[in-house]
Amino acid sequence: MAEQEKATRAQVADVDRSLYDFVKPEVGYERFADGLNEEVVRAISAKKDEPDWMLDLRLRSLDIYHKMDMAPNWGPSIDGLDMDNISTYVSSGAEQAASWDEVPEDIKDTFERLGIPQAERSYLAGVGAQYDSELVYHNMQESAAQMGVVYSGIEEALHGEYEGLIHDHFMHLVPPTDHKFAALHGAVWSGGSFVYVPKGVKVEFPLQSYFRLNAKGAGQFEHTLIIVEDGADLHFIEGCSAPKYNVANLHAGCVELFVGKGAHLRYSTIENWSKNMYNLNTKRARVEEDGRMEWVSGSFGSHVSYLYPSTLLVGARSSCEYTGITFAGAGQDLDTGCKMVLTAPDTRISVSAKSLSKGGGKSTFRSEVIVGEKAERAKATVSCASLMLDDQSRSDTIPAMDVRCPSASVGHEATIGRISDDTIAYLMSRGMTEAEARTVVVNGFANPVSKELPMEYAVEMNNLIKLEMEGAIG
Amino acid sequence: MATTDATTAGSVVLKHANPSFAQTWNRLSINDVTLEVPALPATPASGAPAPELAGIEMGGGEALTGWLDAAAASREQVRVPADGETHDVVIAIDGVHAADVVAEPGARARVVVVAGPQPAGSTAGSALRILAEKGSHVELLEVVAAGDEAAFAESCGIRAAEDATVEVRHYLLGAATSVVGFACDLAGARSSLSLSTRFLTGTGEKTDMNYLARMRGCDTRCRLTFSGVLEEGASKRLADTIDLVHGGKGAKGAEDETVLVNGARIRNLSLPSVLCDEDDVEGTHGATIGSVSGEQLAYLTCRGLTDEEARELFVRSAFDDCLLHVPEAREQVLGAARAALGDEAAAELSDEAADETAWTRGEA
Repeated sequence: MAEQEKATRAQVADVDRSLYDFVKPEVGYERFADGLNEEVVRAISAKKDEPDWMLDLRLRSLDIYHKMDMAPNWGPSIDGLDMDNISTYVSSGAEQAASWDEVPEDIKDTFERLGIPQAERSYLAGVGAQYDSELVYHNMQESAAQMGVVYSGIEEALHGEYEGLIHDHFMHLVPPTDHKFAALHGAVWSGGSFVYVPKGVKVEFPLQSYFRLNAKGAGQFEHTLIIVEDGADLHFIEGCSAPKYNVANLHAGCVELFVGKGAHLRYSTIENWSKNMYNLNTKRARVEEDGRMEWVSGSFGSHVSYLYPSTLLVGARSSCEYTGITFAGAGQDLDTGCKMVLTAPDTRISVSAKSLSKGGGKSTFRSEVIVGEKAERAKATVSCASLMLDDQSRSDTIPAMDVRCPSASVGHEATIGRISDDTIAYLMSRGMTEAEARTVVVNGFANPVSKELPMEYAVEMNNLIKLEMEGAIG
Repeated sequence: MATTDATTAGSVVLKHANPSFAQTWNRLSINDVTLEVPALPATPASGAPAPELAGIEMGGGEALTGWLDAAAASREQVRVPADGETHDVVIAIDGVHAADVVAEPGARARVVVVAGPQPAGSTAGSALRILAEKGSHVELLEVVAAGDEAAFAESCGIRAAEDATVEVRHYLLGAATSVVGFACDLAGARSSLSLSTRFLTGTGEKTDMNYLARMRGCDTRCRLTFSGVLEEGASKRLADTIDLVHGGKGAKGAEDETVLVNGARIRNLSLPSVLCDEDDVEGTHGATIGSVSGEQLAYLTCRGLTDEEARELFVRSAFDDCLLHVPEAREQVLGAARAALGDEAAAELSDEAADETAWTRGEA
């Protein structure tokens, strides 16, 4: 067991859930009472000493949250989620540090197990680490800072020279009216990152934020705001995990991305929330002329997910690629996909989505492609493939297309099926066990996603697949 | 959820009519349609469907099917025996009609539904239930050419027993609003559905289509193909769903959609869904939406066709296909062709159809 504790997520041998499933005691933590009301919202705002406009936004969002309902006719059930049993703010009390040595020992140990400091040393330009409701660590390489790149906690940025910029962008892409849990996020958000990449700056190494929810029966509501100015280039990586509890936890984060003219942003996510988590996250990007947005998404965790990164292509010749994989195992109902809105001429999108279902899990690929009247000569291709790994699981593909421009071209294809017996027989004849053969096929199926990730994350993703494949036979 | 609202002008509004079987974001207005139809008579005249057909799932959903059943002036009930012959059942739609067809084990039925020109401002329609019993073969041919001042609404449900085969050809050639809901329950092992829908949605017209193939039996097959043309200002919704039900091992389903856009201010909504609750199955979907591409036009124009003629070719092919398969609807099809393509093109179509008919009969 001691060896496992020292293992990091990038080692191929790591196929033990204990890598993510460990709990730290909440001794001395500040925890707001469960439930959601104005008092809680005001208390969160006061805690952060925010400008008045932010408190107004929170209160307006709370009002919207109470007035909105979940759609009754689609999506996984969230009946097991009761906001009266969720604490919206839990803090270890640790101050945000710029050195891992300054982070409290048990929290530091958590992130070391998850491999974050090691990843930072090896290949990242900067790291932000959030533990429950607050950031506990944030740092960036000096070389990136010298180029004018800003990577900080969003609350820290709110108190500095970027307050105006944040005011002009915060919840503008994802307004609280977007849906019920966007409103909830607006009311109780806490933590998250602010990234500003100045015009023409290309950040050579990725930045990463990692979100860890340790507290039982709590919610995490971080907000990520990234502005990539004209001609700039950034790869941002997001990771998340939590230990498993027997009560519901909630993640309702929000990501807003602004990609300038001729700029490029790649946003990669490996989501591995515990299987008691309701993951109701919202991500949206706005892309200007000649800008390019890439989403790389791996969804493995959560009990229930509603996750559809969305992209607004508002500038001519802007483009977006979405590459995603979802693996739904026992007890999981993962409703994932993407949304693309093309409103400018010569815009391009390409969607490649994969999903796997096993052990009674349910995976739904849901997408929308909207091509507006002015999106002349726009082109869209959507491809989704689903693999059923047993006869107890479920996989649905529900893609919507709304085309309003006569010169646009939209193509869609979907396939659903299982691993053929011939393939398994062939691999077994070469000496593999059935389990190994199935894992090889599934890894190959996931390859288009993993090859888009930095190597260490691709290894982690393959490990997660291997982990999920355990017990897939019989 | 309320599904009807009374209005003050002798009509009712059907909400959530023709609901897609897989639902998604409501703000896209792609899940269903709202339809204003004449108020129902005080006493429905058509009576209830035959008990053996009453439980068949209907494509138009509860609101639309309920209205059609109640609004129908009469209900035609037909049993097709298995005597080695193919029996034609021809239903001419004039107003709202209900029909129940049972193809007995081993029978061969050819059901033809023709909705020709309807009075301006009227809503014609049909509630059609078909039971295809073991080993039977049912061909359903339907032509809607109601004219650009009338609405047409249909809810159709078919249940196919073991080894039954169902072939469907829908030709939606024109109506101010066409609403078509279709569901086929492939309940029996080795039952199959082959469906082709061709639609021409003219200037300012609206076509709303909802199709379901529910694949419950083992080794069932379905192939759904949709192709159509949208003219300026046209609006179309197509929700088509293949449902691979748990237990239906060996099922294979495929759907394919091609839409040609031939004008501005169009709205083209597609919701092609594959639902899968079984591992030993195959489901595929493909869709292509766009205008005639530059390459396609170049190919055709270098063979002597103008741009307009090249586009017209796509439209004419639907009329050609319809005339070939549903000669009973010749007058209605040529009428729709005249409206869409002009007198000269319609006359050419008429001559070609006559030649084809003669050739088929061995007279040429």
